[in-house]
Amino acid sequence: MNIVQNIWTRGPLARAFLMALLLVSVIPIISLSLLFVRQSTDALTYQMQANLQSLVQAKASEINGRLTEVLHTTEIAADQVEMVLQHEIDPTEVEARLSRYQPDERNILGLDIYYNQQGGASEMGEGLSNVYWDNRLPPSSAVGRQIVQTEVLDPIFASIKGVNPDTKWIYFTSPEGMMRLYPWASNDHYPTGWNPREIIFYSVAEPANNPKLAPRWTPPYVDYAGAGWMTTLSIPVIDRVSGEFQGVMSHDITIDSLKDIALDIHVLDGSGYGFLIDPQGRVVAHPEFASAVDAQGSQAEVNLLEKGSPDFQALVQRMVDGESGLGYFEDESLSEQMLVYAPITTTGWSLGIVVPRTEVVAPAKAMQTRAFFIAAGVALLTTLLAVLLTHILHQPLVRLLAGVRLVTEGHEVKPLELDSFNEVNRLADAFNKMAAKVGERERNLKAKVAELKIEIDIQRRQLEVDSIIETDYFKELEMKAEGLRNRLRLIE
Amino acid sequence: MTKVISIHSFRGGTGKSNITANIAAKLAQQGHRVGVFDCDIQSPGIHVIFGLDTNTIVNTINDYLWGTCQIQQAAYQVFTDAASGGSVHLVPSSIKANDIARILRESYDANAIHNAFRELIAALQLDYLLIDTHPGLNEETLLSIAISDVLLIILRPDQQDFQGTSVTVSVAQRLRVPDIKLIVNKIPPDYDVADVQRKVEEIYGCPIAALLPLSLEVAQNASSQLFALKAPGHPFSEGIQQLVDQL
Ligand SMILES: Nc1ncnc2c1ncn2[C@@H]1O[C@H](COP(=O)(O)OP(=O)(O)O)[C@@H](O)[C@H]1O
Ligand SMILES: [Mg+2]
Repeated sequence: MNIVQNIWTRGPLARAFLMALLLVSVIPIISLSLLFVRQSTDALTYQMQANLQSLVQAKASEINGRLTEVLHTTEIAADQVEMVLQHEIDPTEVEARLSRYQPDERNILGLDIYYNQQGGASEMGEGLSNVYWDNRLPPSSAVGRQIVQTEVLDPIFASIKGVNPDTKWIYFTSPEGMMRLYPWASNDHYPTGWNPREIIFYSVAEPANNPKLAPRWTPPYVDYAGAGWMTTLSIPVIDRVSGEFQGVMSHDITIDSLKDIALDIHVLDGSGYGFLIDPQGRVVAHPEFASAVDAQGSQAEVNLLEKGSPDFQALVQRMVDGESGLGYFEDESLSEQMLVYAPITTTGWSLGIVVPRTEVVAPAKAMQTRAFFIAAGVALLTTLLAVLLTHILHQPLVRLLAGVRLVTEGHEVKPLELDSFNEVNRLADAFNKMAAKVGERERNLKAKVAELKIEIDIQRRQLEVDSIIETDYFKELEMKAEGLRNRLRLIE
Repeated sequence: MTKVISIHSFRGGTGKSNITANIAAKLAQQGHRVGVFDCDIQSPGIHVIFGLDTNTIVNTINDYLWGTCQIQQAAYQVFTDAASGGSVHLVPSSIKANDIARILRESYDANAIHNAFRELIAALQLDYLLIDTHPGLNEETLLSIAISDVLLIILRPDQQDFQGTSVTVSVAQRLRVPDIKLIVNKIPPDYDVADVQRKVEEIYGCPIAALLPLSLEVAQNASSQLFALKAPGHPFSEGIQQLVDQL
């Protein structure tokens, strides 16, 4: 710093030179790197956001693919049911085949007794279904026909379950309350008075509640039979010719493996996480609320539309609306988080991924600090270089200037020392020659006036002294001088 | 008791300001409180040697003479020595062309300057008061000389200075200045110093306090720093030290 200050105070030329050097080096370097850092940090952050958005899209479509599969197979089953119900069977054959279906002690008509007589359902191998029909209901010839007609569905149901690892139950329920369920389960499981038409898997799809006759997904729930988290897809079966409602085809799947897709999302050192919500904003899968609901038969209860800060809720609303996108919110610990989300169109669910904002901008931050240090280093180097150059250029000029001053005053000077032969030193060289010449002349002159040097013109001195001491001012001063001196001292 | 020292030369450019500044700093290093007046109102310059930034100067001796400030308000502490506790307080003279013209045009009471000295001594409890005078012998300079305990006359070894200095010495003797000392400055390298000393003492009959060489380094320094502190081993600095020892 000292040397900079030194150069700075030396003169306008050195100042201008130093300024010019700094201007063409340091300032462009700093501004260029600022520009570069800015653009590349923006790009890095953008890249990061884009990556996360692709990730959420990919995961959402993975989940969606699995659900679409379920939808397609269930649609096939519904078509098959419709065809089977078209098929006329001779009443005598109906009568004969119905003999296998017997009421149990609670008067539920089914195959339990028949299977037991055959040595137990489990002994009879895979591929069997059971019928549930509450015999206390008014008897109907239609029910008998439905039971016999739907018998042929067993291999179809078996093949659906075969291709779909998440499938738990596949079952058809007629408007009369007859249910055929695959795979076989004993009717003892159902509580007394249980009516399938009152249960959500039926009511959600029946025309009264589903005028568009669309496939319907139930909210996720915990299975009665302990199969974990489930959802049910129900599709109304409509007679293609008459347009008449013929029952509901239902398909229960466990969603644990779908949940795992969301819960297994770990981004950026594991600080990010994924979650799934249903079309009402209720949690399907979320690492924090995973064990919130475990009672069998209960439904998802944690609703994210009612959790967290308003900006978080606004984002959840967008998810519920089926949008895909990105947004920021503050969590309970007031740290800023980024949420990317994408819809799962088949069920109307939505998948979200949350990542701390610091992680999103971390690469940009790191790059910023690196760039800062590099720029600072380069700036320091160029400054040093500028100072050095100025010093090298200016130093001989200073010495030259001092020499010129002395010669101007008529003194003799020793030749200036030259350490290298550049332009400035050539000037110094010329100066040395000149100074030597001038010195020589001066010496010659001095030799001539040597006699005068020690002489004082007494007369002239007297005249000058008189002109001073004869003034009134001097006379007065002479008188007071002693007093004035003493006055200064008296102050002490 | 305050010691008042005037530094004078017959011509300008003799080295008055540089010698005054260096003496002041050396005295301060010995733990003294030193006041310095720049009475070279027509060509001021000692503030530069102390590195006093002209932008920070608010009041000058000019303002005091016009009655617009107190003398303490025009005094700037320009040097301190932490080890000894000594300090230098400079009363600068205005470098503004207007101010210089005005002080030359409107004559002021020469005695006012005497009051300035008195007041500063009292206000700052000074041990030394140094006066960097104007070359020649105008009324203020005569007054400064008259009230001094010590008069230091600087001359260069040339004919014009020899003649002029003889007038100053005569006048100072008339005013009965207790202690008159000569300083020969800018002695060219090819001079025989002993010869210079002998001749000068012979002519004036006054003691020589210091013989200082003409030096490229001092010239290069160009009044930008206190040379005696910056290069203590230099012959010029040693001469200054020798001078201070006699004060
Ligand atoms: N012994 C010396 N050798 C070389 N240059 C000197 C010496 N003494 C003073 N100077 C230079 O002479 C110039 C005038 O000095 P200055 O102290 O301003 O004189 P004054 O106050 O008498 O006008 C300055 O540039 C100074 O650096
Ligand atoms: Mg001066």
